[in-house]
Amino acid sequence: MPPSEAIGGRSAPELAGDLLHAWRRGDRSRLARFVIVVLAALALATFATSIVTGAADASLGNVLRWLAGEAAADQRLSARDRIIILDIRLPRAVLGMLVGAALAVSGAVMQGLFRNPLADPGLVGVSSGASLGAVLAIVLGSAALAPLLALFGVYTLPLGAFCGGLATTVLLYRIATRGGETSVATMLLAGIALGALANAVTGVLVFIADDKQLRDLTFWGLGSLAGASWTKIAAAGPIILLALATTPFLARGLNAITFGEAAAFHMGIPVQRLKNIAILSVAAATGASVAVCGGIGFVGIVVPHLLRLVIGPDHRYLLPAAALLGGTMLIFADMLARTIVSPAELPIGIITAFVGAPFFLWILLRGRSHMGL
Amino acid sequence: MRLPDVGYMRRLAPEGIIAVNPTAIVAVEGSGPPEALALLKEANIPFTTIAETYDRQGILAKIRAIGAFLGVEDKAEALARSVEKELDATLAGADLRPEGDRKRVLFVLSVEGGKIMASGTGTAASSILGLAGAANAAGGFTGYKAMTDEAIVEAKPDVILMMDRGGSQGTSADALFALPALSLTPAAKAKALIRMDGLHLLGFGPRTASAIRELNAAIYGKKANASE
Amino acid sequence: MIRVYDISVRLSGRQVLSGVSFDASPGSMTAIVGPNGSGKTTTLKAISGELALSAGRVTINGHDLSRLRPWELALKRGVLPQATVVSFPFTVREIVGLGLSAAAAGTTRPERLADEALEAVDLAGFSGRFYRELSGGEQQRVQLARVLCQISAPVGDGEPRYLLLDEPVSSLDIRHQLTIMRLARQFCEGGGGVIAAMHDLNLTAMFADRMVMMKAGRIRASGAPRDVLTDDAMEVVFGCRMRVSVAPEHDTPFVLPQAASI
Repeated sequence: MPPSEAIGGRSAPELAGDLLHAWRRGDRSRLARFVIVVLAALALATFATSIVTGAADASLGNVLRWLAGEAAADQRLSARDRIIILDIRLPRAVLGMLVGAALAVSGAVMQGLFRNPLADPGLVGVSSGASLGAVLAIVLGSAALAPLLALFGVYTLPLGAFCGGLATTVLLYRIATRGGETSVATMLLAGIALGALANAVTGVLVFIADDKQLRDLTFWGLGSLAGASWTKIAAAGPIILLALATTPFLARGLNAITFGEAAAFHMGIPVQRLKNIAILSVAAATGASVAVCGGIGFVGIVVPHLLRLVIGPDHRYLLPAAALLGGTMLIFADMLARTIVSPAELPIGIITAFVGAPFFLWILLRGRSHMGL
Repeated sequence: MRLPDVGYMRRLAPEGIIAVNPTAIVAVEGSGPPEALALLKEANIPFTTIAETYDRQGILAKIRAIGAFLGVEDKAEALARSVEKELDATLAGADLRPEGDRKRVLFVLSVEGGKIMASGTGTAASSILGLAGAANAAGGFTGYKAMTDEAIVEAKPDVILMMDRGGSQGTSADALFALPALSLTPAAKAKALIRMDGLHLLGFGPRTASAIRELNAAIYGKKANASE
Repeated sequence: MIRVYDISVRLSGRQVLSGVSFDASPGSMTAIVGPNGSGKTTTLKAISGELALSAGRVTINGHDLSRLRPWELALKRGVLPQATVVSFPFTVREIVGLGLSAAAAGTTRPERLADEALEAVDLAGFSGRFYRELSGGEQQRVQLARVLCQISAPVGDGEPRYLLLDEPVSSLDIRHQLTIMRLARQFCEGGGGVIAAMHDLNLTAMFADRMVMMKAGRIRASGAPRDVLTDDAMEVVFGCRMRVSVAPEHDTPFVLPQAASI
């Protein structure tokens, strides 16, 4: 939605009055469009800020000049600036945007599909599967899975995590689908069972892990954008973008499914196809995110909630807004992660948990009646 | 010398390290993640990796390697020679005991949550025990693993060796030997607990000779209790 | 015309409907009545396309139901379910608006349509309220407004459209019961067709053109209300002998919707 259309070429007070009037009549679509424009601007600003912020001093000017083809005064300094900005900060910002969007949108889709504000992408089994895949790679990578390590090198871990996530989702899907129809209730219960199984296997692996592997596991579990590289972006990016591209189709369907699957069918939604696409895109987006960044929590729950309070639950606006806000949040959290304890770095999962958990509690306590909880 | 803390060595943050403006980077083998190391090398900061070894030859090789990297071969050679002399003298003294007479020492990494992480073979701890003339009570496995209570009793350690993490973090000897697994060991009867500074004990560098002497004295010295 | 040809439905291994056949013409209201468990709702679900048939078929305006895709079906018929639980904080206006997006594109003045639908169900001024704060009856009327928006007109694209109502007035008070039934009637007068599963025999008698009485998954009687509503039918179908169109013997007062004025 181009900004001009949202603003309609009118003055600010007129616009505000319009918004308020529509909002009073229960129509939050104008407000939603306005918020999306604001979020887009915020995302851009945060992205730009994260490129010029960091532990080291780096001159953006130098990099821009280099890109424009000019020779630098101090070659070594210029090279250093380039590495910091183009190889460290920029990939992190891009990955942060992608992964934040993926997690937030996946959370919103899951909540819509399960008709429950507390649902999260973990319900399709992708998180426990991805964790298991990662743990397998870490612990057995030097032993039984050594040939894989030789083949994929440093990408064994993300590959393992992604395959684990997808495999678990497929398994869960097969369990929950009978005669061409998927029961989300069965999916929920089977997901709990599969998650427990994955945890048990993980427990065995943790037990046989040595000291180094244990620390690696722990850090992986806390999540980090530290390993961001253009290669990882090239691997995870298309998957995430493809998954995000399904959101317009999903939005209409998820709105209708609020009234139940039967009612959604009556309103013309192909319900099974909706479930298939929703589950697949959530698994792909979340799987790719977890694979390259480890476990990052709370984004999938807090972002959609917060947005619903402001712009309402209409998925046509909620999904794009979630993508923008999720990406912004993650980039911001990453900025904190890499500057707070510089020169070391905090895993980003710690920051999202620290901010997300109390925030979530606050939302719950404030808006209990509105949420019917 | 107050050094900046760059965090866990296997989880380095490239920008943070570049930010402290190092003139050179000496990384211990096993540092990571690989992408971070690649970026640091790309940043044209002189970079070298030092192999992790746990023996006399290794110590001398480390000294010479760092000397070569930093361009101070003479100083390195001098240091290596003096360390060599010291080491050889110390080892001669510590190695006098035949196998059968050696005391069994169990190196305990941590006792978090009642789980006793001990060192098997192939670790810095196990090597230093060997050099100090002791026998590793837990010789049946490699690396640092959590031992079951029964295995610990079976191991019959005469002395428990732990790293000294500074006043705040120390478990007192009483608390330690109160743990069921340890309470049944010969070490508990003699209340034999040795604590030494971690880097000094396990660093395998120029100070290792003095660490060996200290450890040897603590294990076989007149006072069974040698807490530092 | 909705034609139901000899349909049977099995659910969880049980035969729930057997050999049900009837026609529902546009411009008329067909009511399905019967005791609990007689198969009223199942019949409605079979007609709406929600349940698969184990035998027989249903056609809507000549199209076989099983060959129509969900969005095609949505343009021909709207379904009002019995009760709806909504887990998210939608406003009334947004709920009604969802019906609009299900409707055909190119509906003129969708804003106006939503407001008119709310007025029709006597909920003008409620558009800013949160759906979950409303009473059961109010929520049901909002749902009807949504369905009316989906269908938007009794006749469209040269074909009559249909409203399928599953016990639409069970949770409403008398005034609103009459409002809803009158709306349904208006829909018929506009050329659309209505099939309603009804609990209330009096309202059925007032508003329906045809009555289909079911028991244990089969049709026991069908025809005009005055022909179907007999003392015998009451006993056979409902298991309760009741005198039709006769004032009760004791002196207790009785209130019938038939006696309502406006």
